[in-house]
Amino acid sequence: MKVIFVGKNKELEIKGPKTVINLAKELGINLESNVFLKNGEIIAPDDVLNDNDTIEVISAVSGG
Amino acid sequence: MKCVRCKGKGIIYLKRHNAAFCQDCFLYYYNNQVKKNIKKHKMFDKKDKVLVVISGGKDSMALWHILAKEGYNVTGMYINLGIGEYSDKSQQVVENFAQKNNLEVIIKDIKKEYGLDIYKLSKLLKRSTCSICGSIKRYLFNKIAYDGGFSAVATGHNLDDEAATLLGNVLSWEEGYLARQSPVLESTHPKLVKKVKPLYTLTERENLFYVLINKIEFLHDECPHAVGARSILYKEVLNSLEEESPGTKQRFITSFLEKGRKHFQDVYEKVELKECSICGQVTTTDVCSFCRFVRLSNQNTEN
Repeated sequence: MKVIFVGKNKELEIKGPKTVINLAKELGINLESNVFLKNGEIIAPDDVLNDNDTIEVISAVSGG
Repeated sequence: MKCVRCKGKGIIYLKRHNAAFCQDCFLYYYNNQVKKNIKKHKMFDKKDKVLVVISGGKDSMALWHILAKEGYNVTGMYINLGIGEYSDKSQQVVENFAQKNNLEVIIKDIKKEYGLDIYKLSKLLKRSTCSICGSIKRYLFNKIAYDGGFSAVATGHNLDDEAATLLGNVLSWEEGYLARQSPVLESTHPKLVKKVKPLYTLTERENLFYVLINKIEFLHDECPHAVGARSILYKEVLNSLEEESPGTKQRFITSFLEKGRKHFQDVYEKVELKECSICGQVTTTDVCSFCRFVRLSNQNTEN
């Protein structure tokens, strides 16, 4: 699957299938401060992601 | 994972409430939180004119959207601080949203209208650009609100902002700041307009969900000067705690407001407020910092 880090100019190719929780763990991403979209839609932490999916990771943390 | 309200498929899990929501029920929850905060702290009502401070980021766009949707009398205010492409892009987001939703917005451009350049001022005054921006923003929000007869200035500060600020203030025991940290800052002078934070119990992540579900355009980019900011470090630390111990951020803020804040009221010394001899706005010195910035910029241009 293609993982795009929105606003960070970074993309990765990760092998599926795996849940959002497991993908976050593998990438070292905190689910409390990031939102995952699959093919443009919000997804549940226990949803399974497959090789042909495009995943966007959006950070919720801002400088404020 | 089931939605706690309608029992349909839950997609948004809020660990601190041990609750999952579908998109519609999440919006119901979000709406209730905002309404509850406004009512609990008597922030404003539908008769009041509210100036909503907009940066183009997710939090302020969410706030503007929900207040307008709920029928509050809101006007957006955006300040172009001259931070290159970042400012231009965020202004465009704000203007697009106002036009699309037929909302009033006030745009101020500090360079065009006042001749201010945050980079030159930062160099001349040996102060960080963030501190210069902060002074300019606070001045203009209050001035526009006061001149326009607004009852309150609303900002998109969220639970993460408040918890990070509180952590920073506790780490250095900033008694004066601790005394003043609150979802509502009442006016302490006839020319100072009340400041309110209707989103203070909602996390940044929840605001992000809100704008994504409502398909609200917002600027993903971070201000280039916020990179490496201490507030971001505090937020990361708090989010790590939150992951291990859900509810930490909310407990930190709510218990401070209920039990901690009162202990700092005695040490908070009231500063003498004056009116600036040039513009008449409230200040603690003879000439306010904004007028000093303008004067310095003019002198620098003449030389």
